[in-house]
Amino acid sequence: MRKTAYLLIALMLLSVGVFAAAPEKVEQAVVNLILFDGSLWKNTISPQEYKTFYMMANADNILVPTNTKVYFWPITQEYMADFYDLNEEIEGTMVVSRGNRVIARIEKEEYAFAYPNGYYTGSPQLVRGEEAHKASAKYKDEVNAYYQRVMEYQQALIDYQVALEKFWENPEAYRGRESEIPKEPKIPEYPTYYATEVQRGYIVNLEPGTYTIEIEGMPETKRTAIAFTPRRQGVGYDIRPEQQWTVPRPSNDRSETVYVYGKQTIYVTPYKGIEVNHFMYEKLKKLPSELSGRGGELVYKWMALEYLNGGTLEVYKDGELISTSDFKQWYVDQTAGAALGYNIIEFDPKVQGERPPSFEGFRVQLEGSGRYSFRLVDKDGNVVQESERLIRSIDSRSRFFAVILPIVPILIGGLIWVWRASLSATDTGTDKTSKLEVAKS
Amino acid sequence: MNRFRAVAIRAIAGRELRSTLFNMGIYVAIALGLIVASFMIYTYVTGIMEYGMAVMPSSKTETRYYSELPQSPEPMLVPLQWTVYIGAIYITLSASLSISRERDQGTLEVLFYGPVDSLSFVIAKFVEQLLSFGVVLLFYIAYFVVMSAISKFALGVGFLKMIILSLFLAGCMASFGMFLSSMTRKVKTSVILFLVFVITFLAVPMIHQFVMVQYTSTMKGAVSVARHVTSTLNFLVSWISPFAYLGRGTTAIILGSTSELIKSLFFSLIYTVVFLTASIVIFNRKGVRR
Amino acid sequence: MIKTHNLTKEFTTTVAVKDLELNVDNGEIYGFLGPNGAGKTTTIMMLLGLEKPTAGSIEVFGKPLDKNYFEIKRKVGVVSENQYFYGEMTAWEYLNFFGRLYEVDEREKKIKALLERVKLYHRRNEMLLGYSHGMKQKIAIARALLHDPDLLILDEPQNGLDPYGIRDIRDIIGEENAKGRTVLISSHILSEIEQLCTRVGILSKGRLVAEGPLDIVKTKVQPDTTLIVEIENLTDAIKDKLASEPYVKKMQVEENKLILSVDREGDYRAQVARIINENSGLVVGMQTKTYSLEEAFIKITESSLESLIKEGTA
Repeated sequence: MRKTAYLLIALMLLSVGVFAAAPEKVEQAVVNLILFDGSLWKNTISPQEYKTFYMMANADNILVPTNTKVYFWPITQEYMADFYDLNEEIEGTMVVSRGNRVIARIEKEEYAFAYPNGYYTGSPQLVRGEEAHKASAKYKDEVNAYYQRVMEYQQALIDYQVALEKFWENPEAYRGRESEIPKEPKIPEYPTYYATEVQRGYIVNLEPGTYTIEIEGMPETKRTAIAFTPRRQGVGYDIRPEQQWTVPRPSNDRSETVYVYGKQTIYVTPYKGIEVNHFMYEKLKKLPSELSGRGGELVYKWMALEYLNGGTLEVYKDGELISTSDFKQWYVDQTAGAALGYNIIEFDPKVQGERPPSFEGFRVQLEGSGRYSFRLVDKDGNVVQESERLIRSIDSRSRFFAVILPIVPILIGGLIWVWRASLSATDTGTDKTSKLEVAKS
Repeated sequence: MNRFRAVAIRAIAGRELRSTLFNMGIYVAIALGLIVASFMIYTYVTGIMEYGMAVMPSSKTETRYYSELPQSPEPMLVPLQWTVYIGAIYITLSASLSISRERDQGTLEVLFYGPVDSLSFVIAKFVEQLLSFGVVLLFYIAYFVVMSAISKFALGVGFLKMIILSLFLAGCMASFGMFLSSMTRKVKTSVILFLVFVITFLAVPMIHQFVMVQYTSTMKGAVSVARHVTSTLNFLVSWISPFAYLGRGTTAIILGSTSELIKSLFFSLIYTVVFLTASIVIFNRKGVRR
Repeated sequence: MIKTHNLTKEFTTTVAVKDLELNVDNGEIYGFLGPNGAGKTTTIMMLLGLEKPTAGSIEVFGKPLDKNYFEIKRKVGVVSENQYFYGEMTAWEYLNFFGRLYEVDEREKKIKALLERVKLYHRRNEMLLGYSHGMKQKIAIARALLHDPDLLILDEPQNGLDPYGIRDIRDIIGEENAKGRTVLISSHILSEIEQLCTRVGILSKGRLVAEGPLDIVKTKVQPDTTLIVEIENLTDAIKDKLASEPYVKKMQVEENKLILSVDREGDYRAQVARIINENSGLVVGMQTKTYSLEEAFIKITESSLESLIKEGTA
C-alpha cells in the first residue's frame, strides 16, 4: 500500500513539469510565411529551430520577417509565435541566392487578398500595389453600402409593419387592389466581394530548387527555401451514390477504381487536384511542428484544390460510348409524408425558389454488370488529363465463394491424411509371421 | 557447390517437401490465410452492396472523409498481405522445427551416415521451406485469381509485386526459423524459442509506439529514458525481425516506390544469407548426435 | 580398407578414444568389440565423420576421410545400434529416398530385390511407424546395402532380434562378405562374432588392447590347450608318469578326472591315452577345451594390459 502511494506521488511529481510551468517565450527573428498551397494561401512561421521551409514553385509566396516571441506548445508539439506580445516587422532588402549566386534583391511591397466570389468560396486573388488599395477600398465601400441598405431596410421594415397593421384592420377593402397589399421588404444581402487590409511583405516567385533568403545584413533572418512543384496535376471527383448522397467519396487518382453493386446512379463532381510530396506539403502548411509530415518523405498525395464546373462527362461500357452527361445543379427533394425518403431532381430555381441546390455535378446511370468508365471533356471537346475513371460492378456471388474456397485446402489435406493413414502397418508380431505370409503369397 | 552436395540437397529437399505435403499442417495454414482473406473480401463486398458503391483509394490520397475500406491501391492487396503474413508465420514455425525435430528423433544421424554434410543439409532444409511456401503461394494465387474473376475486384501490378516480395520474405522467415532450430536439440525448446521471439518482435514496436506518443517537451524524466530504450530496441528489432522486412516491402508497394522495393528485397537477401550462414555454423558446432 | 593413426577423441570430462591404431583389411569381417563405454560407437562415429577427432587421422579406402568425405561416404553402408526412421514414410518411400541420395542406378529394381531378400516386399507400402524392431532392422540392412557399398559398418545389427532374425542377419553378412564386401561389425553377441569374423579388435577404456585373427587373440590369452580326461582306475603311477611328461605344463585332479594343460603346439591326446593304458588305467572320455571368445574377451578387458597384442594377418 505504501509502495503504491509513493509510486503515485512520484508520477504526479513527474507530471508537474508539464502542467505547472507556462511555456517559456524566447524573443527571436522569425519569417512569417504566407504560402500558396495550390488554391489558397496558408500561414505558418519559420522560427530559428526550423530554418528550412518549403513552398510551391512558380507561385507568389509572401515572406514577412518579424521580431516576435516564440514558444513551444507541447500539446500540439509545435513552435508558435505570440504576435500579440511582440510584433516588429523587419525592414530591409531581401536577398535571394541560389548556391553562391544572388538571383534577386527584393523590396517589400504592398499587397492584399481579394475574394471576388466571397471569402468562403475560396479562389482568392493576390493583388499588389495600387490594385491592393483599390481592392481593399472596394470592399470597404461595399460594406458601407451594405450597412446603408441595412438602415434603409430597417426603416422599410417599420413602414411595412405599420402598413400591415392597417391592412389587417380592414383586409376586405383591399379586394381588387391586391397590388396595394403591403409587401415585406427584402433583407439586404451582405456583399459577396471581400478583400483584406493592405499589408506589406516580400513577394517571391521562384522556379523549383533550393534557395537561400536573407534580409541583407541580418543573419538571424537567413533561411533555406525549397521550392517544389506538384508531381502531377489532374482531376478528382466527389462521387455520391444515389442512395447515400450525403456522404460523397473522393477519387483523386486515375488508378483508383469505383466499385458499384447492381443498377446504380451516381453523381460525380469534378475538382482540380495536384499530387505533391506529402512531407513538403505538410511542412508548407505547418512548418514548425514535430508531427507534421512525419514519415511522408516518400509519400505522394493528391490534394484537392477547387471544384470544376462545365464540360461534359462521357460514359463508356466495355469500351463503347453509351451516354454523355452535362454538368448540372441537383436538388434533393424530400418525399412527402411521415416515412423518410427523397428524390434527386434537377435543380430549378423557379420550382425550388429561395432554396439553394443540394450539390452540382454529372449524373451517371449504370445498368448493372459490366466494365464502365467515364472521362471529362471540356467545352472545346478536349479530354481533360487524368480525368478517366474505371467503374466495375461487383458480383455478390463472390461472398458465397469467399466462404467456400477456404475449405478446399482442408479437404485436400484431409484426403491425403486419410490415404496416408490407410498405409499404417498392422501389428506384425514376429518376423516368422511375415515369412508365413510370404509362403502364403 | 560440388555435385554430391547438389544431389544431397535435391534428395533431402524432395523428401522433406513430400513429408510436408502429406501432412495436414500446411493445409491448415493455407486455410487460415484464406479465411482471413475471405473475411476481408466478404466485408468489402457487403460494404459495397450496402452503400451502393466504393472507391478503392490510393494510399497516396489524403481522404477527406472517413473510409472503412483499406488504404490500398488494389482491393486484393491487403487481404493478400494478411495471407502472406500467416503463410510466413507457418514457414517460420516449420523452419524452427526442421532441424531440431530430426535431431530429436534421431533421423539426423542416420541421414549423415550417407553423403550429406552440414552445408548440404541446411541448404536442403532451406530450399524445402521455400518450396513449401511456393505451394502455399500457389494456393493463394489460385484463390485470389478466382475471387478476382468472380467479385470483379481488380488484380494489378501491386499484387504481382507482393507475390515477389513474399518469396523474399519466405527466405527471411525460413532462415530465421532454421537459425532457431539449429540452436536446440528438442522440438519443445524450438517451439518455446519461436514463441518468445515472435512475441518480442510484435511487442517491441507496439511498446515503442506507445512510449513515443507520450509528451516529453519539458519532461526529461522516465518517459524520455523509456523513449531512448525503446527506440534502440525497436531499431534492433526492425533489423532482426523478419516481419519487419515484410513491412518495409509492403510500404514500398503501397507507396508505388520501385527503388524502395528493390532496397527492401536487397536487405531481405542479406538477412537470409546472414541467418543461413549462422545456422550452418551453429549446426556444425552442435553436431548431429541426439 | 580402414586405417586409423593415433586416433583420439577427448570430451570435456573424459577421453573416449586414445591413440587408436585400427586396421581393417580389404575383404575381411572385422569384429570390433569392447565393453559398454569402451569407445566403440565414438570410434565408429569418427569413422563416419559424425564426430571430429581431437587428434589423429583416418583413412578409408586408402584416402583421408576429411579430404574425400563424399567419395568415401558413398561407398559405406551403415547399420547403427538404434534404428531411427521417418515413421511417416513407407518402406518403399524410405529406400527410394536413400536410393536418390546415393544416386543408385536401377533404383526400383534394386529396392525390390532387397525387400524380397529381407522378406518385406509384401509390406513395402506400409508406414515404418508400425514396423516391429526386427522389421526395422531389416530395412536398415536393406538401406545399407542399397548403394552396393564396399564397406559395411554394423553397430549391434542383431540387437533385440529373435533367433530367426539373428540368423537372417548372419546369413546376409556372410553373403555380402562372400561378394567381397569388407564388414566392420560391433556386437555384444560374441557367439555371432566367433561365427562371422576373421579378425577382431578389442577396445577397452578407449584403447585397443587386442587385435588380430580370432584364434591368435584367444591363444594369447590362453597359450595352452586343456585336456580333460576321465579315467577308470586312476592310479598314482598314472599321475606321476603324466606329470613328468615335458608337454604337460600343469595337472589338476578332480575325483576321477585329470585336467591337463598341455603345449598348444601338437596333439598329445594319443600319448596321454597310451600312458594311461600302460599304467592300468582306462580312458573313459577325453575332451579338448579352448577359451571361447567370451572368456577371452572378459579376461582381456578385465586385465590391466597396457601393451597392444597384435598379430599380422599372414
